[in-house]
Amino acid sequence: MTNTSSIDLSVVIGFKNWGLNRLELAIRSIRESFGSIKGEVVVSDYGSTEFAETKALVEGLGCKYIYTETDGTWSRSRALNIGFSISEGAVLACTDADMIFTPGTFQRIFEVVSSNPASTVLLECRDLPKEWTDVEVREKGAQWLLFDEISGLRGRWGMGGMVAVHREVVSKVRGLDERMHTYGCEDIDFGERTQRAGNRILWLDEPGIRMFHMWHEPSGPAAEANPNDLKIIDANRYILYNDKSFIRNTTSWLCAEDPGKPLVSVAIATRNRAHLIENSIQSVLAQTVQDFEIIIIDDGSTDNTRDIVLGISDERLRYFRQDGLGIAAARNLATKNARGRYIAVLDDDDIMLPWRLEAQLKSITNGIQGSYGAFVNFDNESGDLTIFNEKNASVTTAFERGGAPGHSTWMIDAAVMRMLPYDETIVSGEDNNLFLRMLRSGFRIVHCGEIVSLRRLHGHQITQNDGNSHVRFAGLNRYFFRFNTASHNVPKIEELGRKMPWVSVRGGKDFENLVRPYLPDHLVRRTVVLDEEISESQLAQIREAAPEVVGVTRFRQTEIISRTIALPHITWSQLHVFAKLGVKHSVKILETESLENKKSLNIVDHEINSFIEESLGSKKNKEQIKLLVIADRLLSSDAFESTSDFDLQRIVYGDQTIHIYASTCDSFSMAIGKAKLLQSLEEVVRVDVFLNDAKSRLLTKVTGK
Amino acid sequence: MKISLVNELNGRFGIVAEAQGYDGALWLRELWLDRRPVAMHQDRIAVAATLAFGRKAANELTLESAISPGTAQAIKNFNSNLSLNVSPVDYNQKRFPEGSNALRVVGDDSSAALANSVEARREMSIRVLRSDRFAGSLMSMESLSISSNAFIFDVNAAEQGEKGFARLAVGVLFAEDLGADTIFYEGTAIPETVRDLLISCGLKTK
Repeated sequence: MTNTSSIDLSVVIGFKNWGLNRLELAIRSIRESFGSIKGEVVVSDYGSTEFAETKALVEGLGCKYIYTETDGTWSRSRALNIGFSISEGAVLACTDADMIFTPGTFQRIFEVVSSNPASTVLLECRDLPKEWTDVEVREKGAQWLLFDEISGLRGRWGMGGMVAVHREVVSKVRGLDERMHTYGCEDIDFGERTQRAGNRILWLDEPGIRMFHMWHEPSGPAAEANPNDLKIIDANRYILYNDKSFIRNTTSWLCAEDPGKPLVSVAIATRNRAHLIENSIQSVLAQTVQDFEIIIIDDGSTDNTRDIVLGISDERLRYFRQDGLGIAAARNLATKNARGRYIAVLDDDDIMLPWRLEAQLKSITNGIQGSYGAFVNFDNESGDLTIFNEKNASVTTAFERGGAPGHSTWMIDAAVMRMLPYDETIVSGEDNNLFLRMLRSGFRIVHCGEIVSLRRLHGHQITQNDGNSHVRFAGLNRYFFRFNTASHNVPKIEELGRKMPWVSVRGGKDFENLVRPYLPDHLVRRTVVLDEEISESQLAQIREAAPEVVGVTRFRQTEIISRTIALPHITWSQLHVFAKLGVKHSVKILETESLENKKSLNIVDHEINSFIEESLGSKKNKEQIKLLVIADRLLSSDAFESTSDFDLQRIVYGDQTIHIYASTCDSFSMAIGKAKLLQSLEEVVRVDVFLNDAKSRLLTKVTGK
Repeated sequence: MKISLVNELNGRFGIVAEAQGYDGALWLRELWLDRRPVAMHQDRIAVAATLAFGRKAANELTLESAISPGTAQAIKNFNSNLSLNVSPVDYNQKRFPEGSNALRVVGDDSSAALANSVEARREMSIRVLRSDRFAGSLMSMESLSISSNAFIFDVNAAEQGEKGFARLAVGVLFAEDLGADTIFYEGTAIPETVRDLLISCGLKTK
């Protein structure tokens, strides 16, 4: 969102079926309040049912108008972000269509923000009484002195009336949070995030500077009376009270993004890893956050690294070469060329897990300059996994060993990396050295609570091949870090560091299930299961990259319960398609085999497990024995004593259909008895017995027919 | 904004700022030094804190110990916000710290040599070194070299005309220890708003 125009201030109004009279009064008062500054008004119409008249009115008043078609859901966040995306002002303000402003107000707001760019300027709303709706304002005209006397001050508990910030701040926090919709909280959340990003809050309270709210029936109570809306409002509140990050809309953002200013620069320094680097790059392309660039610094490769890198078609990939100046110099060159706000480090033989950038951006809050995470070592031959967890990084936890979190997990503010470059005179441990210098300088780098990288163990790692240098420099780093400490305090600090807890990560003891699907292609076969409905055009794009698409539809009678698309045998070169389309998906290790062989169908397993989880829940809540019968065709009433106490669902898988009969039994012995009876039937492929929850499968009998 | 002082086991001394109320969140919350001054006059600490963090305070600046009314007023002027509430204030008369030397504040890259003699007023230098390159402190009869993260404050400061303020803050903290009543920057004139702040705690400028 760089500004090259001459417009001083843009005022954006989010609008939907809100009344043209009101809108016109708001626009006219705003334009009159610009005074001597160059201002513009932008109306972002988000889903009005009839909009031709609105467009004519707005454009007739010399303002910008943008319309967005929606599914009917109102989102002030999205409306305003879309408005910001076409605004040209150096200062951006947002307000509502039921607000009017005294002359000169927006001129003053512009002056305050311009002279204090790190300020978020707010106006306290003054509510006009019932007698002054937009109708009366139109008929009798705005009477500012009278309004001052008869209006009531609303108080400083919301920020939605008017918020103004420098446009760089909107870019810094990435606008209003687009998860929020329907009603409530998006204004306060935005204001608070600008504060977390460094702006001080400035309630402008000067004589003659006024904003008045034209009376109308309140919308808040109506929204809160609807139970569906209550859930949404609660969800909005949850974000407001619990999400302490200040950068939002990381996975998608309705404001136009400047490709020249990505959010993250992923820096990969490489030398003669042509056989491995492609996988590393592919793992970045598959990130849930797509607003990045990848900077490859080739430190004098003599293999075909350059061809491999340039053979990957993505305009976000930038390749630079230097002639064997060493890894620290290579990383500094990456920093020098980085255009992103944050720099994420990735080693050229490692794999970035798809949620890494998203998780790390989420952990950036007040006074935090970077983030890191846990990593999992994997053996490139056997696929064996070992997790390496971390403590929260601080002078205290780093003190004893002078250690630093895994370098290939760092994401650091680019400003910090520019201030504190890697030491190019250090042969080994340059990452340790840098991290300790960052700690000494007071920077805060936090654990994001996730496993973020898979670190490849193979025969040509630096730490394996250059162990002596590593030990030598590690010692020197530690000595420097501890130099200013009186010797009698050393044991105290070491003891404190030892007592600090290890950070828990998502996945915990089951981390293998979480990360194994993302091992290299030669170690696993994976299937992607889409977790949401997609459009035909999205499906077409997916098919282009991954032709083998299997549709799995679950029916109860004729009612479709779920429709899943599964794509087996997905390789790393294909995974990025789902991320790029923004399609929610799960990656699983599943193998498919022929239905004719009547062997276990694991894609169907996924559906069956979903079915079991729905009926039993994933948590143990009460004693239940569930009997599941899987048949390749409907069980005939002759063959089957009674199907009336069974719940029947069908799964259509490709051109095959599986029938699932589910029944609850009073006891385990009853379930076993029925299972034995049913497995003898020709139509039956498999019988399962579950106790309590989908994870507790007591019995599986595959009939082999 | 609340200001406090910290002495860490690893030898660092710091001025710590905690954003409150309408304050903008601070990118960096601590001004660290690898040595604690011996003399700790409250007005000098307040001025040092203000140079490092004061412009971010929105409505209140709360210090650990009471300062003189003159320093409180100078802080408000510096902040360009006369409604800023600075506290606590001690209205009892107090002397300024003693001193007769001139203290030159320099950074890592300074190479200027001092030429003191018995005839002229003594000039000391305080070399504020980058904490990512140097550790500890070193003194001679003409200079104090001390490692600090003051250099980081220049990142955002340069755009707002505040470059070097954090290094100047380090000089203010050590002025009394080094017997100085005058402080100046090598090669750069001190802005008027800063001059008034320094004068309020008994430090003249060149």
